[in-house]
Formats: sequence, structure tokens, C-alpha cells
Amino acid sequence: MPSIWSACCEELERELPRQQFVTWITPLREQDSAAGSLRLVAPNRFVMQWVRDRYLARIETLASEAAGLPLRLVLEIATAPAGTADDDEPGAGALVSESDEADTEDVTPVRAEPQPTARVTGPAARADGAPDRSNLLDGFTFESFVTGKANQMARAAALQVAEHPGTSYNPLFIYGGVGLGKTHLIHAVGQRLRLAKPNARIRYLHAAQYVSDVVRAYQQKSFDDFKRYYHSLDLLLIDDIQFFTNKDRTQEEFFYAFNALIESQKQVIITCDTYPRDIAGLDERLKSRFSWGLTVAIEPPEQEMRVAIILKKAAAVGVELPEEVAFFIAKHIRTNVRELEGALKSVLAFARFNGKDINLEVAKDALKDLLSLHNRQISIENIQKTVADFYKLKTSDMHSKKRSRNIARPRQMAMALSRDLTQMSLPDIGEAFGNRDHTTVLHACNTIANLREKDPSIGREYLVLEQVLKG
Amino acid sequence: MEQLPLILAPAPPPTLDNFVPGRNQTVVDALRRFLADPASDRSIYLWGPTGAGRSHLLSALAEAARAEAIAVYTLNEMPPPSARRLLLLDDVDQLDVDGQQAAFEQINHALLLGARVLASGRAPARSLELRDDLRSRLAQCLNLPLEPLNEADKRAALSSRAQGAGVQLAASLLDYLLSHSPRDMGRLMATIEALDRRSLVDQRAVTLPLLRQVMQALDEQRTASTPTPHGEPE
Repeated sequence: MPSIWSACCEELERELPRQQFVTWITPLREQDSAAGSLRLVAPNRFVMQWVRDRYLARIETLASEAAGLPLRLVLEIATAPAGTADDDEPGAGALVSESDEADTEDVTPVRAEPQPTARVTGPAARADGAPDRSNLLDGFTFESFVTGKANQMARAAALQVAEHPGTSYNPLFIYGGVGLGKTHLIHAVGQRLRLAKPNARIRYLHAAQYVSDVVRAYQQKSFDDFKRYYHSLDLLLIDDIQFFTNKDRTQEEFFYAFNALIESQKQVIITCDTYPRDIAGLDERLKSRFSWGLTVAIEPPEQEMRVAIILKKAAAVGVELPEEVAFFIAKHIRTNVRELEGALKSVLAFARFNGKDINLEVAKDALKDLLSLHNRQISIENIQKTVADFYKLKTSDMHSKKRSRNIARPRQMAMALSRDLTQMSLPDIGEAFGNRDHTTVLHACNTIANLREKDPSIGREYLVLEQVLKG
Repeated sequence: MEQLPLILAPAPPPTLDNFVPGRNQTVVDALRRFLADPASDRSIYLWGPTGAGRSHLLSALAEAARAEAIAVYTLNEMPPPSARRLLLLDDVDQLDVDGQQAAFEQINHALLLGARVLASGRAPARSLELRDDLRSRLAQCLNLPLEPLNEADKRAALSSRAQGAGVQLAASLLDYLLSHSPRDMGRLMATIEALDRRSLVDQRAVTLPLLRQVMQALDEQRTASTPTPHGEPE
């Protein structure tokens, strides 16, 4: 235990400002920790309170990471008689208690840093009392996963694995582009397994997180704990394995963890943006092992499936979306599910802000920025070219000294648009129009403003050009 | 030796209240809701041209969040050990390779922690030139466009800032400023700040010659420090 506390101290010393570390962390003493817990003694109530309020969750996380298994943190004041009966009772200054609000002032049970488990459907602590470190996200279930041709193979395989972990396809390797539901699917496996076996040791993590864990274990010389933790899982869900590229030490560690898990028939599920053989900078041994089980692809969703996804996401936030709106979004956003979701949010927010019912017109209005190819970075060159095209002139006429009405008026129009649609200074605008003075620009703007009021056709032309330029 | 002014009216810190909304009232409302309403969207991406007020709004939200006991952190900081966290990512379109990796990891982490995310950039997330996996995550946020202020709103905002510093800006000075300076709010506000400061240092009244002197000095500073970090069209 002392080595775990010193590992925590090292880390805290790095994370905290020097003065905070000296004031609050160095006075803490590790003492008589029981199995599965870390017992820290503070010199007085003030320090104890402060540490409990600010650092307790962090210390617990660090201690658990250093130990490679979840640790309870017991925090006490030195003057309190050591070894009172409370010590080993769950909830006495421990972190696992769920009732974090109502309590006596002395032994406030403090909950660990709320992991997403707090929002997860199901118990926040596992049935055996250990805190849940699975990282599973609620909402990512098989029920909320929309199936179509693009992903039915992957879904079927995932379901099979969830029901028979370790014995059907091991590893299950799911690959596909960004935002197509790989992460959703592997969380769903975790959720399903947890429902069936609440005590299963499940861990979801992103490959980049595994890389950092290896680095930390290396720095703290805690590879034994690291190994013990990862080799003890029942289900390892690891996302975006392409992040292992050229990380040799990580790949080596993962190779051992992978072998240990597969040998003891523990399930491994891996996602990647590409087929195992095509991952650049990955050890051949890993590539071949990744192909031992089943490799399935997730393709981009076809249009009907995109419609179904949008309708389901809308329903999830309690909105009954008109089908034509779902079709409109699905028709225009083809890339991935995240963008579909973003577009849906824009439509819902737009309708809410403007107090309108959701219909096709509202959807078109809401998405006009997202769907336009331009992104409203309008340049003077762009304005000059658009205006010249519109009035069937040459772009060079915009810079020329010619003052005939049929050229001067469009040029004034272009200047006025430049002033309204860019943030450039008037002298800069003048310069871009054949080195004219800023007063010429001002005059042009005033002329066009007057004409727009008096002459409806000029007013219309201005609006048309503005729309064209804005996309 | 130059007399250093006693700063009587330091630039007011950006807040939601001192943001001049112009056509962006719904965005301001959405941001208030973002903090206050647990059922609102958990992640927002603000986009708009330079000077539209993105950084103002991000700073304002950071302050408002801290007032609500929400822990605020950004790109290279460790997520705070608090249940209520807000990740701020300004100018994501400027991120280099490492920055994109960090942003990607922070956003993933925020998702697992249940943290809120507020990001900003110059274009809608879909059209940013970023890594696919980062771009799609930003596109998944509620994307809100910020429109630059129109001329009348700019005048109002500048007068009000000047008044806050105890300076009465004559209409002719505003005319001059708006017809000679780049018209993004960042630059205009900076000019007003510099004008205020210069008039205190030199103990001169705020006049057109002083304004011209300040604008020229700012221009020189700017040319000296090119290339501009944001590559504004100049």
C-alpha cells in the first residue's frame, strides 16, 4: 500500500500547483490500509475536509489506477482513535456509498468521481460492491441501434458475442468509417452482458486511453498492476485500434493482454477504421491475431436507414418528426450518423427558437447554412465575379476607370455588397475596385441604398445577388 | 518618459449581458439554456467570421459556468474531478496535428464523463478541414451560426463601450472609424480601447487627430506582427 500512495503523490505533485501540493497532500499519511482500500490520515479536520472536498475523487482514481483494481479511500483525522470499529464497515468514510447527500457530519460518505455509470441504466456499483469502471454509456444499446443493410452483419455478430461471450467469435473485429456506429455497437454488447451478468468485469476504452495507461504504468513502474487489471477482464471493448500505430511498447503490452484474455476465453471486441491487414504501423503478430475471430464491416447507411435513424433519434428526445423532414435531412446528409444527428439538432433548435412547428420549410431554413457549399467566407473577388456575371460584364470592368452607366452601376452594386458582406475597411474596398478613394465607396453605398428604396428592380437585384453570394 | 495611466476603467470582462446580440439573440438564449437547463443539448459548436464574437461568448460562458460551480477546462488541461464540467475549445479550425489529437481525446473523454462541450470555429463543422473523426464529432454538436453585427449595432456597441470608459464618442469619430478601419468587432473594440488609453496617457481630448494617430499605430503594430494569426482578409 505505501508504494501505491507514493505513486499517487508523485502524480499529484505533477498535477497540482506546488503550494497546494505542499499544503494539502504532504500532511496526509498512509496508515494500516486494509485489503481493497487505501487509508489516509489527515492531521486535522480542516485538512481532511479540504482534501475530501477537492481531491478525494482524484486520489481514489489515481490509487485505483496505480493498484490496477478499484480501491476504496478511507479518510480520517489523526486524533480519532485508530482502529475503531468503523474502519472496515462499508460506507464509513468509504467511497462506494450511494447516499452521498444525507449523512452525519463526521464520516461523510463521499462518492468517487462520478463515472458515467451514474447515468447508466443499471446499478452504479456492481452487485459485488466494487465500483463500476466499465465506462459504458447509457443510450448506446441494441434497442436504440438502427439496423439496415449497411450494418446488419456487424449487429448480428455483436449480438451473438453478447450472448455467448468468449466462445463464439473471439476477437470480434468491427471496422468502418467515422460516425457509422462502431462505438454504439460495442457499448451495446457491454450493456447486454452486464444485464445478463451484473458481476462481469467489463471495460470500454478508447485505444488512445490504453496508450496513456501504458505510458503511466511505465513511468510509475507499475506494469504488474497494469497487467493484472487488464488480464482480469471478462469483456474488453477497445475502440479505434488504429491509434496503436507505431506505438511499439503499447502494442507489446496489448499483445500479452490479448493473448491472456483469448486463452482464458474472455471476450475481446476491437473497432478500427480499416481492415486488420491494412493497419499501417501495426505488428504483424497483432494483425494476424485480429483475424482469428470474425471481422465484420459497417458501411455508410443507405437512405432508408438514414431516415430511420433520424426518426429514432427524434423520438428519443420526444419529438414526432414529420417523415418528409427526415427524408429531407437524409437526402442531403450522406456522410455519417454524427452529421445526421447534428442536422437534426439544428432543425429542432431552429423550430424551438422561432416558435414554429417542424415542417419541411422550417427544416430547409434551418439547414441552409449547413447544406450550402460555401461557408459564407465571402471575398471581394467573389463579389466582383458574381456581380460581373450577373450583369454580363467582364470582371476587369470592376477595376476599370470606365464611367458609363451600364458599368458604373454594377460596380457600385458590388461595392455596396462588399461593404455589407465583408468586414473590410472602406479604403481597402476602394483599393480593390481599381484604387478608388473610400469616399467613392461611401458614395456608391449611399447611391445603392437610395436606389433600393426607389427602384424595386434594383432592390430585387441586390437581394438576389446577396442570396447567391451567401449560398 | 511616458506617464502610465491609472486604469480607471479596465476593459469590462466579457459576459453574456455585455454582448451586443444584434441578430444573434437566439444564440445568446441557447447559451443561457445550455448552462441552466440539464435537458438542453450537451454540446454546442459556434461558428462565424472573425470578430463575430465567438471568443467573447466562450469567455462569457466560462465565467457564467464558474459562477454555477461548473468546472471549466480546455485543450491541454486534465478534466477536473467534478461532476459538472465544461470543456471549452476555441478556434478549432486553427488546430495543428497535435492540437487535433488533443481535441479528439478531450471530446471523447468529455462524452464518457458526461461533460458539456462548447467549441467554436470560423465555418460550420461539416466544412472544416480537420481530421474526419474530429470533424464529425464537432458536426454532431448543435451548430449555431453567429452573424456579424450590422452597422447600427456596431455603432451602438462601440458607443456603449466608450461610454463605459467615460469617453463620449462624437458621431463624426464613429463615422471616421467605420469608414477607415477594418470593421470586425475585435479590431474596432481594440481601437476604442487604444484610443481611451492614449487619451489618458497623453492627457488629450478624444479628437479625430488622436483617433487617426491611434489607428495608424495599430496598423503599424499589425504590419510588424504579420503574418496575422488568423489570416484575416486585409
